[in-house]
Amino acid sequence: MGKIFIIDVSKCIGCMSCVISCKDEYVGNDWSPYSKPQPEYGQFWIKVDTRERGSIPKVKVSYIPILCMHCDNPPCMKVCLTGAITKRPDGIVLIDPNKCNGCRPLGIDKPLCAEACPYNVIYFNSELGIAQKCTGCAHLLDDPDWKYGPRCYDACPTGAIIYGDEDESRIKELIKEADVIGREYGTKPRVYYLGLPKPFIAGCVVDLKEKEVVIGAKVTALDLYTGKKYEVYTDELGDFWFKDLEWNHRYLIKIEKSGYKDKILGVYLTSKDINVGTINLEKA
Amino acid sequence: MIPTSFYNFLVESVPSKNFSSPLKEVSKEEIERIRRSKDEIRVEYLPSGLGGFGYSPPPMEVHVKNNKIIRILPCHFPNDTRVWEIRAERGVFTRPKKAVPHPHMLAYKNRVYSPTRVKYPLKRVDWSFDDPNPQNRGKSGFVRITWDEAIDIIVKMIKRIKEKYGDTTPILVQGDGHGQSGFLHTMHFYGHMLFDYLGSGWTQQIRNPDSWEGYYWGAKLVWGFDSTLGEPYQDGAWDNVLQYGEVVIFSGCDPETTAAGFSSHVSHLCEALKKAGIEIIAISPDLNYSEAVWADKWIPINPCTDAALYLAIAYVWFKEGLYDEDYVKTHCVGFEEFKKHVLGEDDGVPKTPEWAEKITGIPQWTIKALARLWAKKRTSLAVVYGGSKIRGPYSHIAGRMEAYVLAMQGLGKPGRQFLRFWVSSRLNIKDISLLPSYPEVVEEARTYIERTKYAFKVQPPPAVPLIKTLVPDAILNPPVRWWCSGAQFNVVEDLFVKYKYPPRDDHPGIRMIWNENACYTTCWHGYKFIEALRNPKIEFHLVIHPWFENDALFADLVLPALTDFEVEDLVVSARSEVVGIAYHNRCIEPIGESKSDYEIHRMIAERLAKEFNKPELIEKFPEPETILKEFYENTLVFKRYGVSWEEFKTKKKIVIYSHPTWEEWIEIKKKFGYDVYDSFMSKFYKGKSALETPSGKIEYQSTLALKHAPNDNERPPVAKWIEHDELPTSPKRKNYPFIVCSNHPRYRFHSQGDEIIWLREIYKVKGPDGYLYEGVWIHPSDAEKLGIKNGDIVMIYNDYGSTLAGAIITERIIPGAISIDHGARVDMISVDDRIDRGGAIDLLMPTPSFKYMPGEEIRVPEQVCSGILVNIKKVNINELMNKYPEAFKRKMHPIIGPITETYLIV
Repeated sequence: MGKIFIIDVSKCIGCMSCVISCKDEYVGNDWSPYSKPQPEYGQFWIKVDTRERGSIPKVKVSYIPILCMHCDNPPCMKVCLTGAITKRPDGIVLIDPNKCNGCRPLGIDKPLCAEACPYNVIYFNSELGIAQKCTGCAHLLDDPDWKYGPRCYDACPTGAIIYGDEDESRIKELIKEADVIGREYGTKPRVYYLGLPKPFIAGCVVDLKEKEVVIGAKVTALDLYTGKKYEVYTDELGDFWFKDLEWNHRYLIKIEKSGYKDKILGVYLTSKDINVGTINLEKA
Repeated sequence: MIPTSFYNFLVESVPSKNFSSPLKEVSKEEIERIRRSKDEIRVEYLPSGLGGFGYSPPPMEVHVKNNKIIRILPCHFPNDTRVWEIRAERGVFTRPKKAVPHPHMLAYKNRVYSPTRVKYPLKRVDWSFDDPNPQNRGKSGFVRITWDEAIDIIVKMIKRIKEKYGDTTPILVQGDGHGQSGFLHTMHFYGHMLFDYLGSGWTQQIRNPDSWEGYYWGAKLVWGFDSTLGEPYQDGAWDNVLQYGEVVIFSGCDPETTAAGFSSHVSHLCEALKKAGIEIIAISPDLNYSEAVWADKWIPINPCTDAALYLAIAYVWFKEGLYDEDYVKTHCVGFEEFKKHVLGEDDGVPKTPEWAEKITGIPQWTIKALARLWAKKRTSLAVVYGGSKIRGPYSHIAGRMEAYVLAMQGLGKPGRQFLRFWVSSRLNIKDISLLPSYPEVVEEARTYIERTKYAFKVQPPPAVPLIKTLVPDAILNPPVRWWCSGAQFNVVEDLFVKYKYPPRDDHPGIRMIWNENACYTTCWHGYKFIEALRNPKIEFHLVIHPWFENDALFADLVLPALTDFEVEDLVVSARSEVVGIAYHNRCIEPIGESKSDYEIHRMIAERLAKEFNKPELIEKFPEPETILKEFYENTLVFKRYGVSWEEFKTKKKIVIYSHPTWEEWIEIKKKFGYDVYDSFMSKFYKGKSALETPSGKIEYQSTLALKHAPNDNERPPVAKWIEHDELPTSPKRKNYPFIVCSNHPRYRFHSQGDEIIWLREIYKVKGPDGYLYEGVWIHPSDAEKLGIKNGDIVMIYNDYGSTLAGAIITERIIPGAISIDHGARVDMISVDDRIDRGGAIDLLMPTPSFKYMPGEEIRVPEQVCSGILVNIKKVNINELMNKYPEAFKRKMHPIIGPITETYLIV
């Protein structure tokens, strides 16, 4: 009966409808005892991390929505001194606004829970003196007549935000494929991710003497860590594009085409996406 | 026959039962309180777009309680609503059963309660009848006056104008802008109506086709299409592309921005292209928001140089024999003349890829490869509103060249279509619909709201027409002479009809402005308009608008209009392929003393009726209820399903029409002469229908241009390349090295919604001074040269003036260009020195007269709002603060910047 979010990053178009709908639900609306009003600006119970990747003209943008992970091993709950943070049987982690004192008696700027959260999704409301974060729209989910699920899920035009119960077979299947962000924190998030970006290496192969792109050249990328070899052919625009490589691996790139001299481009570290640019291939 | 699931009523409210609480410590009283509070929530359906003109996308669901807006939800279709599906060999394609409005609509609560609202009538403090102090427009502050005083001033001004000049034609009515999309109350037309009924004339500002200039001014000559403003009809186009297409070129096409703003989100159509295995190739100066997530390739191009690319592509096709020779013989006229120009036989300049590389910035090998790919694979070209190409100087050349190259590959052949992402069921279609729909429903969606004629059609005398792009020239340098009314639904031949303003030599010209749009400064040619507004000829500038912004800063009197949430109205859903109608009650009481646009004009009409002894004026502005009922009783819901007006208003409130099944759609298409996967252009290709050009064919050489303007060197019978001052190759670039790419804004609708806090937090750039600046994209290589870092404040300037923006250093813009969206709110640091802090880039845009010698006839009065040359430099804001201390002392909201209070004298 646990609630689960699965975010398919490959479907996110960065429209911010989730962010806005979340604001719409919580700014100026008092949903006590679930939550007190979010301030007019400054808090993002769901936010979208925008990542520009590559360089002109091989550029992609990935958008990664981030919200409270409703962890099964929530660090925020462990550090809370007033017992304001609770985990419900359905997995949702809530901060009781009536019990929370924002750790103000401790004389610190940032509440302990916000400090403890590795995902940076807990905010301090200085006006009310409380910590605040995503409630999973628990006040709506508890309403048997509410049909639309959490607001961010409802407002997503592409279905990038998937929401459901861990008992559903659909959800079970998706979780098998999915990843979590920050597994190393060991917090056991209930928010899963599909299609998280993997690095690319791309370029364009040209015969600069002829001023023509080279079509059908074989480009290989050898993963120097694993020995795995990737192979693509340049397309009609002379482009090659290795997608879904592994982060922080080193790749040896080589270009071959009959009638041309082989070209070893060199070794590239995928600490970021790489556009090798225009590569001249010389006739043999 | 349409099945019974043809229409559906959504549930009217969310009933309450079995409320359970999660927190054990919550008392029974608390639970009871929550339950009670939920019971008080009422559900209303509101317009979900800002396109205006009386049409909305599918209505959004608004929850209201105790005079407060609680939440805004997408439009959820009832479960039994059937949505369209297209069955092709590569899959079944459909749309979601909900319509998600653009985020500026989901954030509308923020707009309704914004501190930028105009709450009371406001008068500029140093304006008076006899001493209007025009030089202080934009500088002096405003004071609150009563409605009675405001109406007095307006009526007296109208009388003065009439007495002084003989009639009311010196009054320019600007009532043609996009805006809120209620059916009646919030429309921008009523000034025209008022003067029309008064009978003594007015100057009718005629809205130019500001988001597809190049198609209107150019492509229309090639393939006709009057009613679509110059783009091929879209009937069945998606069926064809999803069945046959291999490549779709996004020519500056950004459906996630512009189509979503108009029709609610259309991501499902981008997804359909991908699902069908179609390759998306983007050609644009910037990697726009749709291209960044959907495109497989991006070919960066210098802004507004697409005509050169098209010429070079044609060159490759000629040289390599890669075009459809039969098609151009049977379906086109004047092709040989075009060929001569491409090969340089007429001007000695062969339009080679090497030639185009210098202009477009695209490597010649890419141009050649693209040309071959386009010829080999079934390629369509997709657009939606805008893209830099179609809104720059001489965009008519790009429009015509695009049509030329599409025709060379046999436009209308399977998978070779012109695809438009705006999925309105009303426009851009000839016979059926662009996505499967019942003809009856399409017919209903196309119901003409008569009032829109004032924006789109030239009104008979005593109205005097003036094209919107030439308003500043008409004030500053009369007389102006130009070709074409600019009216959107006119005949192609109007392109050659001559107009003049003032209409007669003894006419006083514009003396008073009735401004219902309030966005000319930020969406047209701002500094020139400001100059015109400060000209002593302008005795009175009235602005009617809900928010104190842009043109309102330069007003003499501002009347507080209200939002759709503060009034009861109909919502006509016809800006999407999902058609329906809804009624909403007033959600909240009007903010301050605001009144609806309709009510304001009705009040003025009542006073004018007395003053001018014209009692019939009152009848022309009937009770709103009468108008709503009359319109409703012409809908299918009433005529076919017999739902009475009272029942609709109180119980049903919303109707969404289902789409046909695929089998039904095939039948519908057959009835109209379309085969299963035919588009309108397939019919033309198959010889089943003619185009609306004089020859009925695609005209490389325009019959009309040949007849009316054979010697026009700007727009000759066959389009030709023109070197001009704003090109990347221009000598002017020494002083102004950057070309502006300016698109429709991602998080606004043109100028609308720039005050929304929740969106500003996301997309504006916070300067070192804490002010939120409009972002400008600069390529890292350019930024490095100029010492500009991410988040720095930069000044963008040309001969017209300057504006400030926040630097966004990005790989998403071609080097040598900058990208900044239009429509940011004007925030003047100095009106005299022309420095704006708001990032309103259109302040720097020229009016079309810039292409001609003084006094010369303006043959193509197109709007230029992209593709001009500017320079940029890093700004030390402290220097500006020291120089203009007053500007920086004003009251500012930490996120919004200037608010209404900023401009008030307390």
